[in-house]
Amino acid sequence: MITEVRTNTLLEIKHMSVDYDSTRGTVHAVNDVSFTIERGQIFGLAGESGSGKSTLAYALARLLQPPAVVTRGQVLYYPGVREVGETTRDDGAVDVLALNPAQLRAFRWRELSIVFQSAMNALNPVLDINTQITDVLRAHNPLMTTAGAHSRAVELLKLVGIASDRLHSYPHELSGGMRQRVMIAIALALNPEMIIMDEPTTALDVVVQRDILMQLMRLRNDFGFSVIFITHDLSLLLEIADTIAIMYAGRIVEMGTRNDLLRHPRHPYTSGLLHSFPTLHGPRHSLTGIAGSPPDLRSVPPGCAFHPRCAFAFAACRTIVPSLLPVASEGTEVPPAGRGQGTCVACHLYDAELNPEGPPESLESGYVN
Amino acid sequence: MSTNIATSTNEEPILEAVHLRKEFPLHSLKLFRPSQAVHAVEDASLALRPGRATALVGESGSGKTTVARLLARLYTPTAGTIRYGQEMVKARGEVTLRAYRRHVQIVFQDPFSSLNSVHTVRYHLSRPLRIHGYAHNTAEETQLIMSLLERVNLTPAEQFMHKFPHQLSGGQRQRVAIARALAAKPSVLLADEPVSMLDVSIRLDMLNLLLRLKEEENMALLFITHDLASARYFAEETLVMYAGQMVEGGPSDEVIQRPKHPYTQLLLSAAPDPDRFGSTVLQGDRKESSRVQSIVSVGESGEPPSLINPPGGCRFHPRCPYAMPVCRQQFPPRTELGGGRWVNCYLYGAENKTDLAATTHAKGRPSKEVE
Repeated sequence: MITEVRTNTLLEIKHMSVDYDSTRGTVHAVNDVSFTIERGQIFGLAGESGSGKSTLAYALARLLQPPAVVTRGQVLYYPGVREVGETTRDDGAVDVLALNPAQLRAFRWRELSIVFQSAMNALNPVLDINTQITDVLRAHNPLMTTAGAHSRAVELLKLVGIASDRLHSYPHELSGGMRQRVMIAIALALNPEMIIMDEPTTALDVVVQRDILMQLMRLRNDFGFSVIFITHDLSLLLEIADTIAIMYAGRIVEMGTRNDLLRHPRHPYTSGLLHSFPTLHGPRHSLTGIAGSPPDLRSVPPGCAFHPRCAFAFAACRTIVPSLLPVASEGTEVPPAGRGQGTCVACHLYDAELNPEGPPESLESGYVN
Repeated sequence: MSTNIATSTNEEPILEAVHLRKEFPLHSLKLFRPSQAVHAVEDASLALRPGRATALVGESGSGKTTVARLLARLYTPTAGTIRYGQEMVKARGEVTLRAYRRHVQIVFQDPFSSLNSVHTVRYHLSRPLRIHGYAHNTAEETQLIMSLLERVNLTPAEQFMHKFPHQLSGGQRQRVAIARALAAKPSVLLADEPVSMLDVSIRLDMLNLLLRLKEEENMALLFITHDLASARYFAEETLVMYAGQMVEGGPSDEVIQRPKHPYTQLLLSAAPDPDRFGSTVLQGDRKESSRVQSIVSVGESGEPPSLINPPGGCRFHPRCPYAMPVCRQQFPPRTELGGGRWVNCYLYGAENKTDLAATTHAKGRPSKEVE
């Protein structure tokens, strides 16, 4: 269990941009994204398909292949503070994007691991899961004995709630939920500081999804790793994430704590998303959702990319790209300094110069009849 | 067992299925082994009424898609009857099936595989128009296709008509699939998870489109989903299926706000629900622990059983926290709870009444799920 609140930074992403070069023009999949992740934090990244959330995650793990190119930015990783205590941060920072292949190999899985979206495709169908787990263990720790690797594999399966007699099963013999658990076990193999989960439960049933999320929360509490949780299902993030960032057309449009986002969505897109899923309780409203469809990333609208779908757009939105700025969040009047602390929003409605009248009382009017 | 599918309305059902059963035989290479079968749907009865939507909810493998395919006559039922209007739907015959499909159409889950990638949108829509004899020449066909595309909000229609599926987004493809179903002018539309492959912001649009079509054309809709919240939003009536058996049904709000069957309660407790969390937020210091609690309280909930050798009696009993000896022996009869509600569970049986349910619930369930 977490006994102390860890406030130290684990990962810092600064002004990251990723482009896909194509003959029909460059696609700016990720555009000037900055955020920080604290130790033990669950950081939720939500957005529609094509919003750049997976590209961002793969860029962090250096998994992108051409034609994807990281054009700008830094990914700073602060290793080992947990063991050493409060060491000087700046000295300890590692720029992940500048690692050479050997360093990268040491970084991946020991420090950062990934659970991919489709466990069906991520596991090798011709190898049993024992082989796939011990493969990870021995690749990163060549001195490990066969017996040692085996007992660790059993231990890992136990952690994720799979009986050890399934150790020699092949992926096709496991249900979708169990496959995803195996993926999580493999991600945990080397006790990483950070796990990226790319839509880990999207293909699963609600009951199985709930079990796996529970397991994840429990493991997070036991081991204290951080999670970047990528999903298009905002209702899920609102239950599990500490901080949520909403992406639209390659940019983070709003970032804040779960409560703040749920109660006071600042960006019209966030408000639209929150009004896009029917609720289980309360009166049945007729919901209108967000009009229109996500933009083609080859020709993103000028200014705020959301303005053609926004009910509150005004002149400045069509020309000036809004930047992600802190706003006063619940309880604190003064915007806290630094990113990743308070609520930030990229919307001209909150810019006193462009919109002197101030933001509208309620963003709901745009989405509820 | 009561065969009466009572709901609060007295309107005659347009499509009615009574005691449908479907088994898929397994072919074994071993000569002297008893033949096996997947018991996909054990006993499904439902009635669809014009201008009303019925939601069929369950996990994957619960047989809900099989029910839709049985109703669309893509599968032939092993037992049970399907009645369209006053007529029984016969098992075989190309001509009768074609006539039946004019009235009953289906929209599939995955718009990426339900459209033929080598044909244009125009071709997809022209087939039902020609087959069912609504268009006799190209001019008529063009006009009808244009109006179909406009009805599903694919405008400008002239442009979409000549596109291939790969040029369309997922939402647009699903609209084409809906337009294709509408081309036959059906009175019953079976929608098999029509939004689960789509983006969140598109989903609502699609649900609202289906709702509008239901209102305007007075269509009967079967809406298959695993999402209780959209069932509540979309449908007047909700039926819950587990492992091929229908376990609970009634008006959507009633079923989802006050679930009776332990399986419905499990489904509901697993559904993502920001409100549930929101209500515990205010408790200050207990915030963190209550959040974990809300997720942990569900417990290890097991998985749906194999349908080759399903558990006897109520198929939910191995996962059910209130299972009694009788649950293992016999499938519980349908208990009418009034107001169109019914449940197949011994907790609510005539001899037990609700007292037993109340006391058993008090043991471990989160109290909010009980009334």
